[in-house]
Amino acid sequence: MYKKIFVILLLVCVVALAWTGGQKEEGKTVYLRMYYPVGVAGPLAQLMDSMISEFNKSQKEVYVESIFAGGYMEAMDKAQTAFLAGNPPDLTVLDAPNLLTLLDIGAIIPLDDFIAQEGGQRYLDEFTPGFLPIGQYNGKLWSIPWQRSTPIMYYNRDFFREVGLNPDRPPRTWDELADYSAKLAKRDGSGNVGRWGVEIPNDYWVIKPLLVQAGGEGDNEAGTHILVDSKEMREVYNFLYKLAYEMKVSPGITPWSQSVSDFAAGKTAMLYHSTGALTYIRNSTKFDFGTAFLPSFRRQAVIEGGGNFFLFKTNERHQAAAWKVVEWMTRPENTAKWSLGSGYIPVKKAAFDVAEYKAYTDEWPQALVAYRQLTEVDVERNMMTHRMNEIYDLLNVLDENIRGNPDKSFIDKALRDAQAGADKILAKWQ
Amino acid sequence: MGLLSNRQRSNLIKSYLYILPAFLFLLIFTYYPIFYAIFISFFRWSTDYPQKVFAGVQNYVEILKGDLFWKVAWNTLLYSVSTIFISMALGLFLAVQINKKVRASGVFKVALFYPMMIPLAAAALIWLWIYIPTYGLLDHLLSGLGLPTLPWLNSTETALWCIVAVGVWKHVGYYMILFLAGLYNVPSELLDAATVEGAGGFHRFWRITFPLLSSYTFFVFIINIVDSLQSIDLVYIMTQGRPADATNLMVYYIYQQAFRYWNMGVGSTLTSMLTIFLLICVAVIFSTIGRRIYYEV
Repeated sequence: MYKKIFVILLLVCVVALAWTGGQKEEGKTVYLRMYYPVGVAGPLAQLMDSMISEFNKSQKEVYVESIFAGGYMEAMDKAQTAFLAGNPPDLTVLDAPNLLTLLDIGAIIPLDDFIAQEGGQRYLDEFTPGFLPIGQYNGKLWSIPWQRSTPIMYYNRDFFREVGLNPDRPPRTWDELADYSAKLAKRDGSGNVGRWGVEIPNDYWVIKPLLVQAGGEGDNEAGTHILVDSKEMREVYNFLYKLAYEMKVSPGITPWSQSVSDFAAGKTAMLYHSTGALTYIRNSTKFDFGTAFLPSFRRQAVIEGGGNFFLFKTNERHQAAAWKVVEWMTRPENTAKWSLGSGYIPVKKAAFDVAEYKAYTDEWPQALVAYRQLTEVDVERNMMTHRMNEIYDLLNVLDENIRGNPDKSFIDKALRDAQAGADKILAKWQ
Repeated sequence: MGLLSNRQRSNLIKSYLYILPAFLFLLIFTYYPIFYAIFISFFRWSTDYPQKVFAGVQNYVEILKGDLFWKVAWNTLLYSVSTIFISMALGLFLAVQINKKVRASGVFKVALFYPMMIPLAAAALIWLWIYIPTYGLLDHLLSGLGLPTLPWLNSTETALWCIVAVGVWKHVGYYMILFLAGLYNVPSELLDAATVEGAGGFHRFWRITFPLLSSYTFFVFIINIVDSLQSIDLVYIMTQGRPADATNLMVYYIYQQAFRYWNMGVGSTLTSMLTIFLLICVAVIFSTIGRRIYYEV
């Protein structure tokens, strides 16, 4: 008797589960899945989900399920695996330099037809300059900018005042950065670090700017070769070595996400990080902080970065619906909203004039530093190669290997080994 | 079959039918993937080779020639041997202590078992915070005591041991409970008799309790080996193998190769190597130590 009741209950549960799982919003005819990453600190997943639900309410045809997929790397793992297993998401936000890998596995579709439909060149001209090129390959456009950024320098103005530095005059060169760091770093009675002068996290995205500032070149246009073992790269690592082990004003190893907490906790006076963390830092700090261009060396230069929308190969109906989502999300008022919530640079020019965004930047011009950097200094493309994740990991491991090692003579060997490793990974493409 | 009566035959068929669902699951989700991985390990299959190309044992040769494989293998060995040794010794020690009818032993049991019940992802995040250099809990305590602080997960020298500590902390309560179950089954007459004969505490443990526990110890040992050689979760959440592959363990390395880099051939080769290694380990252990285990308590 009990057995029967149990079995019946179980069946009811299964049916209920299946029913809720398969339930879609009433009246909608296209159901899309979108993977997206969060690459910086802060509750951006909530903002993304709320924007997508706003999109869902804005029209009667398409229902999008937004699926948080971890950091940039994890999101790419998931999207790639889902595609190769035959069950791709309809659209994704992914790190823009994943383009070549996505093309190599044949996962994505070009967007030129949709763009023509929106007005062609006139439509493209609406975008903030500098963000489209990384989506172009073989004469086609494969992705649309979404959460775009440059690395900037955050600095604690209270600490500047404390040690007698002018808070309106952040360091402009590598030499000044070293001097300022020496003044700002602090140790306690037992010799433990109380505060670092500057933190430059272990991520190639903040290393490449140093390389281009030294006049070096990292990766070629076609994404088939990277240069690691170069005079300029040695200069970069000698400089970082000086900060970490000679002056002891910067940690050798700082994970990307931890560096933001370090800055917010007052454990570092200056920080190299994405502009995308701006809103989070603003909301989670009580002290007075500023943002500035990255200090320069031979060239005043920086790189761009961040995530773009990619449309996966599904079917025409889904692709057309996915485009609608992309078009809606990148409208000036929506990209402005995303920028307000994160600190990313709006991807449409008109967004800068959206009332809410304008009021924000008028009140707090710091928010425009990343955009000004994008327009006022030389901007190089983010690193993009075939077998991107493998190369990226190799460069980050190299960075941690060198900067975690107090032996300076190790730099040469590490760079040579990494070059050999990179050449092997890209052997087929050279 | 002629030897079996109809009744026996129908019983036999019934038995097979009962194990069929479980067997199908094993077949589809365990045996088939193992053999498929071994099959794939003889092919090049990656973003460079979207179509599988037969490569013989080339994948195996290249993996064995690479430095990273040996680094990862060494990390995995260090991680496994130390977590197995520490968590078994500690689990047994705690079980014996709690079994001494201490006051409020229930509280201790719950307290020690508690880490097992915290979702691993949450536990890993808590530990990440504990390990943050300079203002994390550990460094905060150390500097408060005027001691030198450590960079914990941010140093290639200490990172792996930090992961070991979390692994031990997470599992030791579970092993303790298993040992405790064993201890309850040690007949007190034997221990009392030994006491009468004048045996000390250490002798009673070493000559009576420990041998009688051997089937439990053996079980804990086997699951510990399999668990630790296959662990990936802590590494995935806490360090992603960083810094500089200092915490890269074999299964995470497989994940990187197969799903992050889409080098399916290499990933499958590593999987096959790990599976075969584990099989050999377990077979050797069963045929050596396993033969000397005392099962009837």
